[in-house]
Amino acid sequence: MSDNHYVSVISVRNLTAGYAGETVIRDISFEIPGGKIFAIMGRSGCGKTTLFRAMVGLLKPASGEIYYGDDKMEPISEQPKIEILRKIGVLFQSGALFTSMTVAENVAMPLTQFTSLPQPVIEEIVAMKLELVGLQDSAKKLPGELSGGMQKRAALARAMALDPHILFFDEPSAGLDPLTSSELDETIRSINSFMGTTVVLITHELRSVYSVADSVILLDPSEKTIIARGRPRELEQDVSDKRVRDFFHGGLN
Amino acid sequence: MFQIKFLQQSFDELLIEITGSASVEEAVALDRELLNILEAQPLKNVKLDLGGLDYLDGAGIAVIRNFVRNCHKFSNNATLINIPLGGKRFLESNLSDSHATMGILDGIDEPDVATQIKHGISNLRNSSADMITFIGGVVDAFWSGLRRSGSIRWDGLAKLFEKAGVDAVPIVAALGFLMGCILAFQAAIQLRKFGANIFVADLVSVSICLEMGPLLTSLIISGRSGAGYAAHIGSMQASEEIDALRVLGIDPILYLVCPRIIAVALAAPCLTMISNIVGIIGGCVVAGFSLDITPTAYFNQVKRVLEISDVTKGLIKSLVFGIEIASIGCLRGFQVRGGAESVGYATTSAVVTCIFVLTVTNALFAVLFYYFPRIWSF
Repeated sequence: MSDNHYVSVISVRNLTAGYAGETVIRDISFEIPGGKIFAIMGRSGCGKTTLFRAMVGLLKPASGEIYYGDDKMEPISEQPKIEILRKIGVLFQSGALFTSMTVAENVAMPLTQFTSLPQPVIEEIVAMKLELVGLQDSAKKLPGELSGGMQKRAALARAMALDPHILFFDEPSAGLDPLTSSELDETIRSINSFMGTTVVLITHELRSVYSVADSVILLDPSEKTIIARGRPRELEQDVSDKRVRDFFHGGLN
Repeated sequence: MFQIKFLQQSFDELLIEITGSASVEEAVALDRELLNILEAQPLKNVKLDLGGLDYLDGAGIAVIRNFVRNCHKFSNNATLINIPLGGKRFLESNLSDSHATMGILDGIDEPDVATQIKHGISNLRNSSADMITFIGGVVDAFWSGLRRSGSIRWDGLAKLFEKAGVDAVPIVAALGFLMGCILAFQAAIQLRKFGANIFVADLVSVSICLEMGPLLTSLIISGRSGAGYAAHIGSMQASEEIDALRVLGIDPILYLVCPRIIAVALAAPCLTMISNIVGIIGGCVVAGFSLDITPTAYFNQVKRVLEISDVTKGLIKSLVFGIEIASIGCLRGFQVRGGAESVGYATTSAVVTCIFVLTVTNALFAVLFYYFPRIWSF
């Protein structure tokens, strides 16, 4: 039964997608194992954002399918698959907090949206999540009053509000200093180990990937498909493909 | 400083030696000198010896390249010898192909008329498709919203109504009053000639309630709420907030657009009513000063001539205008692709589209009221 079924695997099959007639990714297939940290990497323009948007239902693919367990993901513009959406949390690149609401109201959104929990319970959950990300003193602040790093943490609290089975991070280190970035890596690691959450990282930040990712796929802008997959350290040692070498060694050879 | 020495090697061959420094300081003089040489003696073959240069920078290289290109233009053969190391990359390439650099500062190439027409038609088709999809989305949202009554957010409605309606009262009242004054003033000039002064009340009250009130109020609402919604929703689109809503399973149209349409649809007739009243009063003030009509006489005349149907027609028009304004503002917001510049464009586009649509709708209403005058008197 998919209601009680732990949605632990994402299966992408023969996915082709793009914008306005231009194909960005072609015939991509891969599986994301449950409970692991999976990174989608590539140079600028390789299609990782397109892939990410298709996976969370924001983009209708030209062809191919995405399955969350036994449930097929339909693009949100058609018939939002609420059962899938309530099991995923998304941290957007810019945080994407709702600017007219306080931090606490932001974190409460998934709870009010997907559950019928009573108000006091929701308030408890919000307080807990804010404490987890260290923002318990900022509950009543508006997003505009927070720094970039704090906004990301608030957005993370919102993404985690329902303890989702799968968390998506779109360029988590973007706009963060190295120190804050490694703190975020640490947070990702602890979410994964304590709660068994599957984490999907869309990034080009090698340091983060070495630090947290269990497995990686590498996309290429000219091939428009996956050119390498495996453990990060394995791909680093792989000398067979020049593009893989260039990516992992920063073009220094 | 540079020095140019030239040697005529044969009757149509010239060897030019440049020594010294060819940098940005010398570039203008060097360029002129080389051009003088070229114009002074049309030759078949020119050899430029750069071995004596002790300094060569980008400007110097550019001047030499320009010289070679000019030689080719005059059908001369130009070769460079003893090119210094720093100049090798740009001076050894085949310079006759470098005509590609000409005109790079000329600005964007405008496509020809046929292509522009093609683009114009496809833009029109895309924006019409966008609009139809959006209208469909709004109707669908309202329909599903009414069936599942919990899903339209009524709590934000009061705030939206306050912003769209209550906050606009001062400006609507001020402009309405002035409009009434101006109408009465202009009417007075003409009516005085016929001794028909009292009819200023007719003119002001009927034209304000039927046409000027709804239209002026709606134009003000376009600038305030139409542009405001485009900017707000556009910024949300640019910062991925709309995506964040979708991923939470929230329909952005139901969540953002429906309450705004309801708020403006309620606010517009109220504001129009205020504008009507204040406009008629404005007319009274001017009528008193310039036509010596007493307020009593004025308002008696208004009561005599103004029909309820005039007022209701105006209010119905403003209701429809309000729905259009909110829809267009939100649509433009959703169409934002990119950052601040796109949001700015969406805001102005919202106002312009509102003005256009309001004018067309007004004309349609005029036709409608002409053919069905009695329907509107309740």
